[in-house]
Amino acid sequence: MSRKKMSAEPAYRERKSLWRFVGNVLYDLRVGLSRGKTRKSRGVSAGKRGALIFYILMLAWPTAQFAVFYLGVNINSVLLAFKEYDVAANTFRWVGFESFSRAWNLLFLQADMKSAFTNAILNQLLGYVIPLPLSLFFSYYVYKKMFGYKTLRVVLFVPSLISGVIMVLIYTHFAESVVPEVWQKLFGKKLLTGGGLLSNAATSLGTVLFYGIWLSFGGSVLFYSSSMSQISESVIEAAQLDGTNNMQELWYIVLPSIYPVLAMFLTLGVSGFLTNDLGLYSFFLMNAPDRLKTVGYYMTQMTLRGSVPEYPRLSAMGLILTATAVPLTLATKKLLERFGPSAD
Amino acid sequence: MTGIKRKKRFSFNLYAAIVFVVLVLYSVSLLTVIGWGLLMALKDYDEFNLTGVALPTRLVFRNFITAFDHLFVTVRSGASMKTFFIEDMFLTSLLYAGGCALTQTTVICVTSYCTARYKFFYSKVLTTVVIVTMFIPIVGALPSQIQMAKSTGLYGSVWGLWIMKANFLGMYFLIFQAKFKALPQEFTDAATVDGASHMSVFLKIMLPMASTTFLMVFLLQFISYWNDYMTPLIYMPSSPTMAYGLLLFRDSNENAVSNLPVQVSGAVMLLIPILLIFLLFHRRIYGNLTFGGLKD
Repeated sequence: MSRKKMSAEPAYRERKSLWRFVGNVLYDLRVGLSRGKTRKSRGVSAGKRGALIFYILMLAWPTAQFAVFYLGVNINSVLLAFKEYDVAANTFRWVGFESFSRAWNLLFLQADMKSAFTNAILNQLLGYVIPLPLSLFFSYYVYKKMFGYKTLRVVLFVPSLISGVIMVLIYTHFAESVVPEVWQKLFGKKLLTGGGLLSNAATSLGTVLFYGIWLSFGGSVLFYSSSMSQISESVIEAAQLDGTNNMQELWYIVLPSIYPVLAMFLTLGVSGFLTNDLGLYSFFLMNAPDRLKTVGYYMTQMTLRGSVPEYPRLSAMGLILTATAVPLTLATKKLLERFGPSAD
Repeated sequence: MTGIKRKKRFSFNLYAAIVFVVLVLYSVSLLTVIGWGLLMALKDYDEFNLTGVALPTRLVFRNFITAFDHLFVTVRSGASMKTFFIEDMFLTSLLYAGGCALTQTTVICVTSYCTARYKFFYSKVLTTVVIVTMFIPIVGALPSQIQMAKSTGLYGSVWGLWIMKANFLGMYFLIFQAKFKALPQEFTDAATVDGASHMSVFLKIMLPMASTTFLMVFLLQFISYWNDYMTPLIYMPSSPTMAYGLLLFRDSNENAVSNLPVQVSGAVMLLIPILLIFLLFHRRIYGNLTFGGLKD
């Protein structure tokens, strides 16, 4: 029986190898006729070719749009900074660094700009120092689905739905008329000697800053609570079995887990400090008082008020400000990465 | 397991108590101001003149009619002046917000899908571009943007803004990318074995699975564009949207509309579509905003 088997196997192998040989000859012939490509490489390249065609077609528009409206715009902005508008010839001409010296004087030697920088920094600092911890506490509350979280989540999101124009319309009247009137009724004396909270020079900046902070929770709670919901349930359960309370869970488990998202928001906050306009357009459109202006408002206002001959100077100012903001942003990012909590 | 869940839902500890009180106080402050403001739309003009603080003693709807009749904006259009009434501005808002939200969400979705599912080198390049552009603050590019919009012929038109806004940059790219990366590969493989093309896989398998994220991003973008007055003010000043029109309406010196009740009535008209959208879809918005990259 075993001998029979032993004698049958080589014959079978032989037959199989014979068919394989014939098959290979026929295949090589076919491949040779089709420009020498092997079966395997033809199959893979066809699949890859299909993927590549799809990939190129799908990304053609995004790439072109980015090239024109991001790269093109920013390259043009850099070039504009080295030009000057020749009114007589109705065209731009190269002038080197002339616009930069004028931009530098305007940015750093003008009294208005000093307060614009101060306001921008103040807004960014207060806008993060106060709302960030509260946002995290609120988000954790929503994430843990504590009492009434559904209703509170909707209420927190309401300001994100309402246009700044509407909110400012109501808030302005509240700050200008309602608060002073209620104050006088409650305490029997005037809150301010001149005007309301927004029009009085002593309180206007605080009123505008408060507005920004007051309405800033909805969006961040939405993002943070969504990120928290991605934390592995088993990690939370293990911590609960170890007897952690809410604060410990938030501090030792949740915050380290969502730290990348948190770090991203903090870095974005720093990167935006020179473009933030404090919502002044909603309050005053183009006529904000100098004491309230931020750098971002100032830049947009000058662009909208200015004409084409102003563009080179504005572009030069933008380049100087970008050169100031980029190292700050990158340093913040590095610091947050370096001193952030470890995954352990 | 069930015990833990029950405890998690109904325990009312010190943390919960403190945050609950703070949240309630905050919510009350928000709702008082917003609610009081919106109630002003129903206050009689004469009563409002007597006291601007007290709530209306009787509700009047006349302010809405006044606002509807007077909410128009006259802007320069070429050499002549053109008047836009509320229905014109509503239509422009719808085209602007709907078009921009749709084009931008589509471009972000497509780009993030390609970078998440196709391991080409260019995918890494695009992802890096998104992250770098998020963190590099470009200040003062507005003059160049306006110049570019004018030179490409896109300035002053709604469709021009659709094109200008149809980019893949920003946080939503990361949200979509995280979503597409998390989708299982098995569906794609099975469809490919059955002979589905790359486009079919994307349109018939992957896109339906990411439809909730698509809808959520679209809605958030729509709300943002609907309320945006700055972009129309800069790029299409001759075609005012509702938000832009309301801004001009608010600063109007015309007697009939230079009072808060009528202006708030106009504001409510701007708010109605957004409130309807929110009431219909608010459950879809929550829980879908994840970037991935959380620490394990």
